[in-house]
Amino acid sequence: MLETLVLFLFIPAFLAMIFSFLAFVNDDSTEVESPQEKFQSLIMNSEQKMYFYKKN
Amino acid sequence: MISRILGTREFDKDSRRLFKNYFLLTILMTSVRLIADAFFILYILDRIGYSKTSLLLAIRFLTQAVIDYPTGALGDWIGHKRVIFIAYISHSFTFVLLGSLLFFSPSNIVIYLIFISILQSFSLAQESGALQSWFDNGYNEIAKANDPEKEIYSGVFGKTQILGSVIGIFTIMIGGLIAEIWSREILFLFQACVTLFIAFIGYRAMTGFAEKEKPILTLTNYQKMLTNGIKVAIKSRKIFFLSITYILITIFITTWGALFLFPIYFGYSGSDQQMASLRTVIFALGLPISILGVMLAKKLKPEKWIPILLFFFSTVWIALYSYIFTKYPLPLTEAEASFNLSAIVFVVIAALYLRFLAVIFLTLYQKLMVELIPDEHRNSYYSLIPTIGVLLNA
Repeated sequence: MLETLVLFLFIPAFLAMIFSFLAFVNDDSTEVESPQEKFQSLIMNSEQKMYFYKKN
Repeated sequence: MISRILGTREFDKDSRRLFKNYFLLTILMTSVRLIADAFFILYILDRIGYSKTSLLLAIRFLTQAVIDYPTGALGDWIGHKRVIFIAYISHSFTFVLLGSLLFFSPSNIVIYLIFISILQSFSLAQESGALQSWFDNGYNEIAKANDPEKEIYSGVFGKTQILGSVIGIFTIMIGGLIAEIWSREILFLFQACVTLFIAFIGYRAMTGFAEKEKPILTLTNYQKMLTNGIKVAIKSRKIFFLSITYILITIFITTWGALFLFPIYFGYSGSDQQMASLRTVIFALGLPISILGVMLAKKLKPEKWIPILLFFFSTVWIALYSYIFTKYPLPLTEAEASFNLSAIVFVVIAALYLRFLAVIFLTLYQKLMVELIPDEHRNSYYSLIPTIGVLLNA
């Protein structure tokens, strides 16, 4: 009886593997960004591009 | 000396201080919590018996589960050092109340102990995740630039956990000694004094970087913090699936430790004394294995290795136990249990294998979390996920 129950622990362990795989597959996001943060990073990027454009 | 152990000698002064304070505070806090914890339950058992103690423990567990998340959000709001200060002051007060039973006897001891248990749950809920959140935020603020691959972060995290558990065992022994020489009440008063000391030490040491500006203290802002904390866990697909992964692993480890570990150890060792020796052997062998796991985790990329690790975690461990149970069936009753060396060898291998993978998984998971969770909701998230795990497990 106890043996069978122990083997049932395979279920959470196996599901954990599946979910960890889902977390990383085709995922290009690295952090949670609010719309304001996204907007800010876009501005930053364009400012940097402008800087390099002017520099070169 | 400590910087050498932690491998942070190359860092600037502020970062070295941050790592050192985190290391010392974690070890101090883990140890202090353990001095009288075991005797707390034993004392209550002696005073009110099994049935009332189980009711008391249920109240304690439920209170902690309910208030863990709101107090985590409070930590994000008023600052982690303040939350830890409140936690340790209430912890100290809990033990003053327990120790004062040496001098008087309340008219209704059960109500008195229920009040103490609720106060302790409050303290535990306040403390949960706060120190780690403080350290992770500080790391992101001042030390991250010097440690782009998070090798030092993983190393310090692992070393702190391992050393904390080793020193914790010695403090349990000190607690036992005090209880034996004087009394349990004196031990509780001693615990209260040490905890009070730690509260002030923690408040003094948890500085060194500028915390981000917090919204002003209003009820609406607090409600927003509560909902935003939950949003963090569900908004990003990566965090959502990783949270489920962590919860499932918590369920696995807790169920294993609480339900199966002792019957299996007892079944193959045959007596309480031999089972205790088996646990000591596993603990002793587990230390170098854990250190090896931490050293390896420093070099591994979480994105690649967490799924691979969990594949080996689920398949090999279960295969190992299927083999053990087929080859050496467990005795049906306690009376039939006898010492079985071959089975014990396999059980030790399985335990060390589990420990090795668990250490790597937890270090890699923490390495990811420091990056993924926004600093302003860190404490909420660190309190929310283990709470869900515990509730599902129950």
